[in-house]
Amino acid sequence: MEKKLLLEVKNLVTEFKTDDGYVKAVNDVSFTLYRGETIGIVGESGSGKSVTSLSIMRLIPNPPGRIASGQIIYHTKDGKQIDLTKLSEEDMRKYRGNEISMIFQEPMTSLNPVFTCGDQVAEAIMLHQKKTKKEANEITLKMFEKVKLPNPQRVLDAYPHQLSGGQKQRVMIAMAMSCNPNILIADEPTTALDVTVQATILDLMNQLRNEIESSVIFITHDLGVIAEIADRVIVMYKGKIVEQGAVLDIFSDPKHPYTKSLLACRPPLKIRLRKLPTVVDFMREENGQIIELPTSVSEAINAQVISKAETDARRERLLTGKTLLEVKNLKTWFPSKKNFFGKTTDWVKAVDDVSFNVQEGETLGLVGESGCGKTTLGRTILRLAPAESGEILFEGKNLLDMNASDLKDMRRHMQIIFQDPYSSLNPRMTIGNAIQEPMSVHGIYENEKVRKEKVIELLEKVNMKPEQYSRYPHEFSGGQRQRICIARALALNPRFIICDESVSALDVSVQAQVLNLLIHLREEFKFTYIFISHDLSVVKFMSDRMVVMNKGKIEEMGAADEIYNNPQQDYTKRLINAIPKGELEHIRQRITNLQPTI
Amino acid sequence: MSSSDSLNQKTWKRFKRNGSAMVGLVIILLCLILAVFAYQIAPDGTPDANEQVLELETHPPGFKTDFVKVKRQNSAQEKLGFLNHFFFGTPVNYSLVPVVKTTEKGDSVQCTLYKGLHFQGEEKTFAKADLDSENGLVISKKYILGTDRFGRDILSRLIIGVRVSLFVGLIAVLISLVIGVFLGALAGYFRGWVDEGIMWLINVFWAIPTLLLAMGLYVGVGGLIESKLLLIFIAVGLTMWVDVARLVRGQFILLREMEFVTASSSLGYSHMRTIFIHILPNAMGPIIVVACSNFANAILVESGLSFIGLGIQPPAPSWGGMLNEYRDFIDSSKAFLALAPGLAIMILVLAFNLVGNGLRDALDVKGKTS
Repeated sequence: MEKKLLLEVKNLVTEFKTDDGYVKAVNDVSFTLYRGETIGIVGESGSGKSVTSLSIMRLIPNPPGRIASGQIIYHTKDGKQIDLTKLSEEDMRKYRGNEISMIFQEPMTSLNPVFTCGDQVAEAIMLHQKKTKKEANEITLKMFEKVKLPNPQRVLDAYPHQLSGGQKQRVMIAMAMSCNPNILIADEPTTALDVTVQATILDLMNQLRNEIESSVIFITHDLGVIAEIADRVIVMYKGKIVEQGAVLDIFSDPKHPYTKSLLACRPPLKIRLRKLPTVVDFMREENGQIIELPTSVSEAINAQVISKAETDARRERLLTGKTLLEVKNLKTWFPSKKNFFGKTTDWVKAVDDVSFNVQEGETLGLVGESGCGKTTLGRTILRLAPAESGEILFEGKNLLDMNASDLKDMRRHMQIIFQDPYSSLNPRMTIGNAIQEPMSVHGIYENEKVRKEKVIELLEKVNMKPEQYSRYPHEFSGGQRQRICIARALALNPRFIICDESVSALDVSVQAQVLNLLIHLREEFKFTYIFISHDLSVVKFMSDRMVVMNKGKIEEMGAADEIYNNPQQDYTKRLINAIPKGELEHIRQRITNLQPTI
Repeated sequence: MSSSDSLNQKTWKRFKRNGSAMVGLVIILLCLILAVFAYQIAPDGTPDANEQVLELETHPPGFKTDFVKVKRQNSAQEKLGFLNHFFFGTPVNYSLVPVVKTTEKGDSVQCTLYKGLHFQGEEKTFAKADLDSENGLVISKKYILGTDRFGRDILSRLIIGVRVSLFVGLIAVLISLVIGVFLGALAGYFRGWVDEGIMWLINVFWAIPTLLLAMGLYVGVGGLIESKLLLIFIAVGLTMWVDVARLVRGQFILLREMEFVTASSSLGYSHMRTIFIHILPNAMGPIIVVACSNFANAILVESGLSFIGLGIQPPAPSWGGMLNEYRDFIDSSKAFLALAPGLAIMILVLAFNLVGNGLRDALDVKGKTS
């Protein structure tokens, strides 16, 4: 079958006005989209991938943004060519939702909380297809069935807060698909979701594209996700397209060093690495020029492999060593219902009878879907959330029995690094002060001058520059902020650190850098970590032993490789299967399966 | 991201770009200068601008006449320091007598006295020894905004009255900030029974109208507290903290869920440190804005209190008091008497509201991370 053109983007430049003049967010980008095709746009945050898609929708907020030059040519079914950049706002509205529709990243905020899901989808149908309310409701119900929402009739009358994140994203997909658009733009639709939910959404999108003749532009920072869904891949870096090609070509023979680094930086599942290859292993930048280093993806990965013998020896050493933390029958319950007299009658059992040990120098991984209680467990151990019963023994002393001043001393030894690098730093405090403050409060080091020197030392440890001491958090990217948070946690010279989803909010490429930093620090300072994440591949890369949690209880516990290679519980198997593999075999298989339909 | 200005510098940059807010700021600064140098700027530099010339009662703006200065009997002047003169005016030991015509004859002066717009002047002779001749025997004065019913210069009284308005605003806002921020922060940070208790208090105070509270205080403790000014501060401050407390509480409820607050407890910081060093600066934007609008409110409330006679006591000038004195003239040809203080109140309140709005926009850093 001959491929028919649907969309041509030619030399698109989109810029934003800042205090320092116009900044080009998308710089001379050209690509084409054919009917029935799925292309994946991949790149880190700030690479211009979202701005490209918003430009196609003409949804760039103006001011401060504007499409400065270039054409976006849309080919209608009857063969006309329309330049979307030239359309008036009113004409453009006829294309949005009807011909081109979009799914956003954040299902939590992209649905209006005061209307039922059914109403919101039906509204779009009534608006674009001129249907009556009754017809629209019928179509909505069909769409809900199509996106495999459980009990579609109920969802019709449900408000957004009554649905889970994955279900909301399904409603969004139903809404976007309801008018049979020719182009569906999905802007990181699975990034905010758990890996298991992500897998089901990707499955759904693959099925839908077989059923209806939509082309899909799928935007993500994760090449692994692209491998699951795209026919062609466009790699963007700093507003420009650095490479594009068929998905198999990109994965088997990446040309651009940036693409190589994206491929190499995902934590591999089959082997154990000392550290993850990152962008710097593949290229350097001098005066805006990219200088390629002659490393291939497999070379970079193979250089870091740890042998099985080495892993076993390390485990042996850890297990015979000292036990640092013992958690015994820990329960954290939150009251969910109270009777008239304020007495609690029902509880949410966030952590329900959990026991485990952490050896000194070990990294214990804690993995599970959101809501499984892993974050609450981490916070309970640090006494940031109140425990119902049980014991937490740190070097034999029960943390739950401690009074305020003992606890304050204890805080020096145990620290936490949070998930959200944007809210975990005080926006009104310079980063230098933020790192220095814990030292002053706990009276570590003689005076402020020595402390300041220590802060600068710490900044260098986490690969930041000393001159950034008096800058504010908003001047830094997510990855940099996470490194500042790490420096702040290190300020008290702790021995034990809990990383609570510390890399989940970061791009894969940045995630690799932060993980490498954590590993480097572990070796330098002999840290003990509890590493919490919903992503089993990351947890497996980081940890010696792994705990799988589900509904407040421990499902499975054991050596990380052992659990991955030989999972005992169905729940663990499900987590493992959900990880986007990004492997050639896998992609080849998927494409062969698709062949008959193209 | 080229510059690493502090947040305050950025705020100031954005504020400067807002034209109307800058106008407001300039007005407020001018008023401040007026308040400090009131007695130097005012044409009538006597204490409380209380130089009465009864013949000149309620003369229109721009009225001009000549005077001779008749020495007062038993004018035993006590010496006052420079600062006292500077801040509270210089008393004079003569009274002004308006004249139409003067002729010097030896050591006496023959004058045709001015007795009002519609009266015939009468002749009178003064001995030169009885007259004060420091700046010449005859001086000339122009009343730019006219005179009030005691023949006092309205402009001077307005200028000195700005002190009361600014002072009441400042103190009342300070009182309301101290109480409001403290209680609001505690309620929002600790929640639970602390929150319930403070909310109860807020609701009780919210139900009391400011004027009623002021009258209550007047009746209740008016005898104990000498200064009526103090009474006004307390009345205004006690009702306005409620707004501040509610706002601060709301901000704290939002901010306490941020991870940097959890981080500060994981770092072993005390509650007070977390509240005042970490959370409060982040709530500063809205607090400044509400303080600005409270400032405007306080000026209005003071005017209101003076208007019903519970404010600053005569002869001390205050804008509300002046408005009160001349409300009967509003529909007459002498409306200028009430218009001048009315306009002054309006402009100052407007200025504070403009600055408040400008600050709100300038402090809003959402989506302006560059």
